[in-house]
Amino acid sequence: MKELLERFVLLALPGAVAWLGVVTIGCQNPSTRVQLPHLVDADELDEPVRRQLLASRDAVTRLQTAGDQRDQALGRALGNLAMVYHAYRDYEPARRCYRQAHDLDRQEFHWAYLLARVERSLGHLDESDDAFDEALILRPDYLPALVWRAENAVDDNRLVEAEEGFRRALEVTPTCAQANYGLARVALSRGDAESAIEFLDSAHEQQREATPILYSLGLAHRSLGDAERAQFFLERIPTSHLLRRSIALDDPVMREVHALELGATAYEHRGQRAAARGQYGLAASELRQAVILDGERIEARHNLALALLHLGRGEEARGEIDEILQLHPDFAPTLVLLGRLLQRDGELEEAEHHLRRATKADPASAKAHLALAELLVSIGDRDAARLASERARLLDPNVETKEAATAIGGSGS
Amino acid sequence: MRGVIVPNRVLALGMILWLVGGCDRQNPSEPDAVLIDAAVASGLSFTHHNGMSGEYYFSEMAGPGAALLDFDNDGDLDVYLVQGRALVPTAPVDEQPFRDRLFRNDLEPASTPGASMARFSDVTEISGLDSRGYGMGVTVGDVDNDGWVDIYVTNFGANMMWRNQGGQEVSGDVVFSDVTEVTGTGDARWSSSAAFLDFDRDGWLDLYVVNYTDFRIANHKPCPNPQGAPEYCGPLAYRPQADRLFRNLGDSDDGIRFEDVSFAGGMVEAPAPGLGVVTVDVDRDGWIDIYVANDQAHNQLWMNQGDGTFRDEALLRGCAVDAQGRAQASMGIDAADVDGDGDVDLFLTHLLSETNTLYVNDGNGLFSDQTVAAGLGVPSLAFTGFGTAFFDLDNDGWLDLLTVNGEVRTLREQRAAGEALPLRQPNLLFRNRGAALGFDDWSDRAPVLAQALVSRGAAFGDVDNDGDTDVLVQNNNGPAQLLVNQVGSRDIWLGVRLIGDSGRDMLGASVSLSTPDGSIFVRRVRTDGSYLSANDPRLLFGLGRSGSQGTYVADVQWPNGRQERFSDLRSGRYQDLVEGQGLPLDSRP
Repeated sequence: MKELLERFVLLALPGAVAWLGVVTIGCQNPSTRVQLPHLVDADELDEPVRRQLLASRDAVTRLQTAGDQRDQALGRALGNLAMVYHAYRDYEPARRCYRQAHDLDRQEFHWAYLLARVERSLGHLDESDDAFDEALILRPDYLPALVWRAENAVDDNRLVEAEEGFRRALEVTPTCAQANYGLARVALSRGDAESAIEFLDSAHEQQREATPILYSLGLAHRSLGDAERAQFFLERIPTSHLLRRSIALDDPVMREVHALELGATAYEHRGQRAAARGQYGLAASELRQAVILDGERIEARHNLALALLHLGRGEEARGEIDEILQLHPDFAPTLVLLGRLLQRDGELEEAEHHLRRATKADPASAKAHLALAELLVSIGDRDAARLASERARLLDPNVETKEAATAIGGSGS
Repeated sequence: MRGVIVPNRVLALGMILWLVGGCDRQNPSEPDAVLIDAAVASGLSFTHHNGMSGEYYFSEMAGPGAALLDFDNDGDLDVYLVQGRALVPTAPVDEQPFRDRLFRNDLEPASTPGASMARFSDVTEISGLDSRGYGMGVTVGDVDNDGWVDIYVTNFGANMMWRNQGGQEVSGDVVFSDVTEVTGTGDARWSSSAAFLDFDRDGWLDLYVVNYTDFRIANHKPCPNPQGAPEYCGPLAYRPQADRLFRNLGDSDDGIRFEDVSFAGGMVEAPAPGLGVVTVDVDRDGWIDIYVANDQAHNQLWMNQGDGTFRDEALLRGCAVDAQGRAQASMGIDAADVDGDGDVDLFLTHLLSETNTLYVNDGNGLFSDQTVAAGLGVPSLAFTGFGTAFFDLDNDGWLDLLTVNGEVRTLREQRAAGEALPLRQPNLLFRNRGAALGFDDWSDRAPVLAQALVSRGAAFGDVDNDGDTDVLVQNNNGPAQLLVNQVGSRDIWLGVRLIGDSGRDMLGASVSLSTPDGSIFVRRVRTDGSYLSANDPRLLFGLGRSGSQGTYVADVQWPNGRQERFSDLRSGRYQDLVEGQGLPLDSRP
């Protein structure tokens, strides 16, 4: 009896849900058929971001207020708003807006595809699959859609489906590294390391520095008992999170999304990433934008000064340093930086003054104590230098190693 | 059919309930729940205060942990709960109203004949414990081999070692004393988890302390989200810190002292933002190794070289990063034989949009990421996991899994609803399917898990001595929960406590239990694992799948390499296995 009842409900459920949906929509005023996500923390957002979000929301509400019920227009406005949320990795509101955009305009590839991407980011693989399938009806050969649809399957251990998907992607683009890598993942899941290595070698030919490919090659060789080959690949995995290289897959639609990212934070993040890769020109440009948008971003300004020094633009760097210390006279990382610059220029007395200020401002900064110790050595005050050096090592036994590897993206203290 | 829930059926049944019951929310059917929260009923009344001030100080969302320990040696588990406080105190610290709490368990008879239930009393004031630091975690072990368990507390600030002076009772109450300075185990940095282990096999418990980053109030900085709104920082915003390994020098006239051997151990050279730790012999060479969960950095597997040094081999052994070479945000951790092949596998909890990760051991200490195949990937993507452990929920012999969750970055929906700490998430329970490695999501079998809180620490142990594992959960800025197991004791079980000749729990010992039908179960004695927490050191063997009652044989590998056999063990009770009282077997070198 219970089974019968369950079966009845299972069969009747889709219809019931559809009926409830019709009733709900039918009860709504047409002008409220679209629901915008709550605008959270609007006052706290970077100004360009706030303006951007408000403008995108206004575009939706204007259409509603004007009674413009053309699905395509409303869908486009909602999709554009979704892309803004998406650009800032704010996935839940992005998902809701894409969903509504897609419901309003099922012929627009963007909304189906981007909905699929966001559902995937949220871990909703079933919903993501459905949206990818709809996107692929509209553009059957869009490579990123084929690849990510197959990635969903492999993440969900649906290996046959994943294999078919990656092979289809290779039909479209035979040199697609991520599809070869995906086939390798499938092979590894089946315990077939030899086949995996064949796919990985193909992927590796295309993208020699991609971390996932190197790592999988290492593990595949390990599982075949070739420890030397395994070590060869595994030793090439970067230890820094920032230096990991994903497999590149050109995605024009996602490029449109990323292009929407504005604001000081976005610039600052990009600047730090560029600096970590040693791209100081790009870093300086991004960090400069962050500082222009928000002059209070002291960390960005400090990192900008460091990037400028790396580029040999000492005068500009000094300008930034002066600005920082006007705003925050006790900002220890910049005091240390200034002290080191003055020491380099032979202005030892002033250098000592700033370094002592730094140790006072942040007594727990091993870096400041070490810098002071080095300065004291150079002026011959060996006893004081020893004390400062001991203090630095007590605070952080690794301080010298870290100092040698000066990291622009760190806190600097 | 083991009653695997089919989502569509759940949906269907839910629809029936909704239609029948109108719009009223149905009260979860507690009699069928596999775990229920008995904190308040048992007298465990505690609310964590994270001291949040609106400044988004990094450390305020990280804690706290909890410990299950038998501090008074009366045979049941007591509770230690770590507390926070204001991060920028306006009054002297010793005038702060908040401090860590110790609850004594005095088991009471339950309504079911022969059964007991936990009954807790707050004995902090008379215990001598006065831990008022900004608390993070706790670990427990008997460092002076006097048969009384001691406590090590990690703080955002100076850590503390509390010696249990059980032998010097005052007015009948056990008194703890602060021995941080005399033992030399202090560390003023931001420490997270810690673990006791006997890494040099000298019979004294050593100490491993995991450190996180160099964040201090003085170097606090804003870490806005990509849109510019205030947010908590992540580990990359600050410098990672090196962990510390303290070697126990044994008893002397001055009491117990430890030596910092982190440099010789290799840890000093490898700072990383660590959060969790397990100490376990992954390659079965007889020496305890150390596996550290690092946040957005490679995890470290410190392989014990047997000469006081360690080598980090995590990358080569396949447990530093996930299958795609990504350093994940590792927080909670456990090590246990989840596939029943006799070696220890590793599990880590991670950030939202990352999967939790299961590394399966090939028997030689080489690991492969089997998360997807085990069905643990997709269900964890929407959660940020912290405390976790493998435990046998239903005593069927296969280790199940609980993860307690809570975000670290603002959940916009909760923020929009005006929540002060919008990081709440439900917890997850997975049941091990057995033989072929795989898990089913059983979270809906315990409605209490749906109660979204900001869960962090979780300690696992049998608080009511009924033969199944219960879970103590610590929630950031929320109440502690005691999830009492409702199903495990229905099946056959056997409990053992491994005791050294000094009378202490032999952390690091391993037991291989053989059943009359030829099944073999391997478990390790530990208090470490999970997140910021300390677990019951006793071992519980669920024997449901062996299907027979009778006598059992336990082969014990003691931490010093000695092996002994204990025969004629009986199910349905806890038994002490005392070092030196079993039949000696060929021992490891």
